[in-house]
Amino acid sequence: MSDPLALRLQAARLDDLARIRAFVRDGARALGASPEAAGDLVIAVDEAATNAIRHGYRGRPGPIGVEVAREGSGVLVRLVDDAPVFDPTGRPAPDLDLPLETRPFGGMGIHLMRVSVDRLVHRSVGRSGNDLTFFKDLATDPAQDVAPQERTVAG
Amino acid sequence: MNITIEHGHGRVTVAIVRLEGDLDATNYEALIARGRELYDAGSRDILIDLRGVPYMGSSGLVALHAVALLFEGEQLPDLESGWEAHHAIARSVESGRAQEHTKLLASADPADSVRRVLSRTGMDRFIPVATDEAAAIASF
Repeated sequence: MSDPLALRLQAARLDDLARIRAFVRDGARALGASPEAAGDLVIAVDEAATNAIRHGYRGRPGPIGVEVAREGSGVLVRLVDDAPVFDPTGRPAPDLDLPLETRPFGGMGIHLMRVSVDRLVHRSVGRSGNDLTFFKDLATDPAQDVAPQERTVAG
Repeated sequence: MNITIEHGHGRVTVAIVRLEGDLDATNYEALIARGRELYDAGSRDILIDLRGVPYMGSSGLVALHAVALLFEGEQLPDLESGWEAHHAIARSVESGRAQEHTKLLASADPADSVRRVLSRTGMDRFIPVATDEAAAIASF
């Protein structure tokens, strides 16, 4: 795995979501992801970060760390927080056939988290804290550039 | 995110809600509020223009879902009740009735991030997605 690009927010709020998305997008692109692959990582990480802030920290500021690195044939993004343990990988899939009248509001964040990446792994950190890793395999991405371009990423 | 309102005229007058900027957990309620304002002011058909939205997450889907139900005459909870109230909505269903008063305008590129979110959640099966504005207005 390459040395990760890292973003540390000691008191993340919902207003920081745009910054987190930009960091993931720019980092993934710098590491060779296509715009579509980077966009998928952004979707997944944004949903996880939103859940951590909105539900984990109950809307109050809390620490969030994001790392982006190249691993094997893909890009790996790691999101860590100190919120109560919540494992999105074990939640049941939503019923996408439900029409609007009976479809529950919400509930799509976890689904988007899971379907937007090739691998999602959750680890609990002690009695409180989550460590989520999102992996996007660039080798299977039809939009992938043959020659990734060098880019700089603002920290 | 900026929200601007225009009106288009086909067989009916359509409120066109143009969004510019990301639609996420920080601003999805603003879209619901504008939808409610339009409905309360008498609008009965709405076209939400997402072509200026680079990113939409699941909070944006909640807003689209809420506006679509609103324009079908459904009651929505007070926004002050927050996210949990949105989860708690239950309503009766008129079997087979399709939602027809809300449509979306989005990029024609299926790889577009917003299009992918709509597709992956099945939302585009229940809220029509158009890529041509004139055709969309005429379809109401």
